[in-house]
Amino acid sequence: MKPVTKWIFVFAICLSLVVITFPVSASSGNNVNNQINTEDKIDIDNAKDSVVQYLGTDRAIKSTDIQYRGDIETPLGNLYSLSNGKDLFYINQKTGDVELAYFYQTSPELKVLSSIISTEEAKAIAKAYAEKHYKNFNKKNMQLVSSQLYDHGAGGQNYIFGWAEENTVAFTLNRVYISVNAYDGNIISYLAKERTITTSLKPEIEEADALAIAIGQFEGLISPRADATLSVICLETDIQHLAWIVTVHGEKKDDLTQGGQVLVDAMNGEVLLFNPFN
Amino acid sequence: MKRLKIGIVLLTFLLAGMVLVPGASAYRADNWGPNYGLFEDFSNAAYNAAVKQSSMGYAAYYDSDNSASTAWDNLPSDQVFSFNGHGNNGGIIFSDDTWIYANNPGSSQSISSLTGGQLNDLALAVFVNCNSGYGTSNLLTSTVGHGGDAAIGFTGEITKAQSDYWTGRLWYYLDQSYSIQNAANMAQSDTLSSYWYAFGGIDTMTYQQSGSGYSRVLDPAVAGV
Repeated sequence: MKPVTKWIFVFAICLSLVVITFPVSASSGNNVNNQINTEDKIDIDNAKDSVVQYLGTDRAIKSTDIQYRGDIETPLGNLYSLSNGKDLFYINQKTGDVELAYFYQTSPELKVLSSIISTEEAKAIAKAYAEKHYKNFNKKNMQLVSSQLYDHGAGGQNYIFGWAEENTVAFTLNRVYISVNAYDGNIISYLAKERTITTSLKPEIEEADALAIAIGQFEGLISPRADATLSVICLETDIQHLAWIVTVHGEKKDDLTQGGQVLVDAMNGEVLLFNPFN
Repeated sequence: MKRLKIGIVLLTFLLAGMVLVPGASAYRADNWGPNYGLFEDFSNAAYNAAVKQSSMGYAAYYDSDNSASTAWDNLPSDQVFSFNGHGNNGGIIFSDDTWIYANNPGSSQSISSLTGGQLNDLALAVFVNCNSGYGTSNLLTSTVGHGGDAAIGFTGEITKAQSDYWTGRLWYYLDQSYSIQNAANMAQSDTLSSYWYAFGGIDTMTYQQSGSGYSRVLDPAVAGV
């Protein structure tokens, strides 16, 4: 066979394979999408309505003002990304809940303001916001897990408050985090998720054993110390684990931080994620 | 036929090269992601940043096994400098244990040894290492003090998974024409949304700027002012 004939032959085979396989894959894809659209997924217009309702009278906008930016896949489910100007919103594709609201910051001059609101004032603002927007905030045992003022240098200062549902001994996936501008008390961002918990909340592995497992992941750590919290986590789509979130520290080496975070499955001791410090 | 094959191979290389080295951009973005070994390979974060910077119009490069001297030599001509890896507030370390320092009079590779405006062309430096912005004298203050417009870092310890993810999202939003500050904030929210149990230290991010450096938009590519 001449070289040119050989290449034409190879090309023809490749083209045939594409022609044969393309309709099959396209068809499969459409079927999957149709299933999701009809059974599991709200449509984009409904998602836009969620944003309008979320903003309420605070910022009177119409759903036609909102742009669809794309889909976002996370381990805890898929989201619609929507924007109003440069404000961003993530909408849960199954429930229609607003899971992220980010309000674009345009006031860099705030950094020069000398006074900031107190932690208590900021926390009251954040909590009222959470109660307004997180459906079951007052029905769940939401515990304050984060309350901190952050000084971002030239980026100004903000508070972040986080609440997580505590169920017997473990925190669940039901959490809300709110960032508050420390100068004017305006909300910078709202991040929240509410999920049905499908895993056991009773650990089979003791905390002390989890600490030992986590420390054992680091080679040559000098004077290791560790602490842990028990929480439901979700690293892969819709797969929940009850895990010990263990933070490990050792003595600095060459003035570099040693250690990191290890996620230990609280049911069987498996290391779910080894995550060293940079 | 041999020429045709060679042509196809060359075209493939050309197309692959275009991903990271667009046209003849006058603006350079260097991304350093050392590979220190198992579980400590930061090259993906550097690569992902370079891909987005390329889309923004930078001539974007990344490397994982270079010495600090390569990054140091390039720094005065960088418009973007991005580092993912190990370090502290006083310096960053490369895969061969060589350093670039913030303020070390004993080293020729110390940002403090540069003349005042030697980093004037630098629009943004990102130091994704533990404690890079901790204290009053650190990598960020030194960079901005020598002409850089804006620098981002962290006042606390950060973990690899979250900080790699944050880096990717930072450059995603910068490529979407968000200002540096808003891109960094949104990247933080996205990181927590994906690692829905802990910030991994990303919440300790901090900025330094000259003028209004952190409110700048870097898309399309710009140089320092």
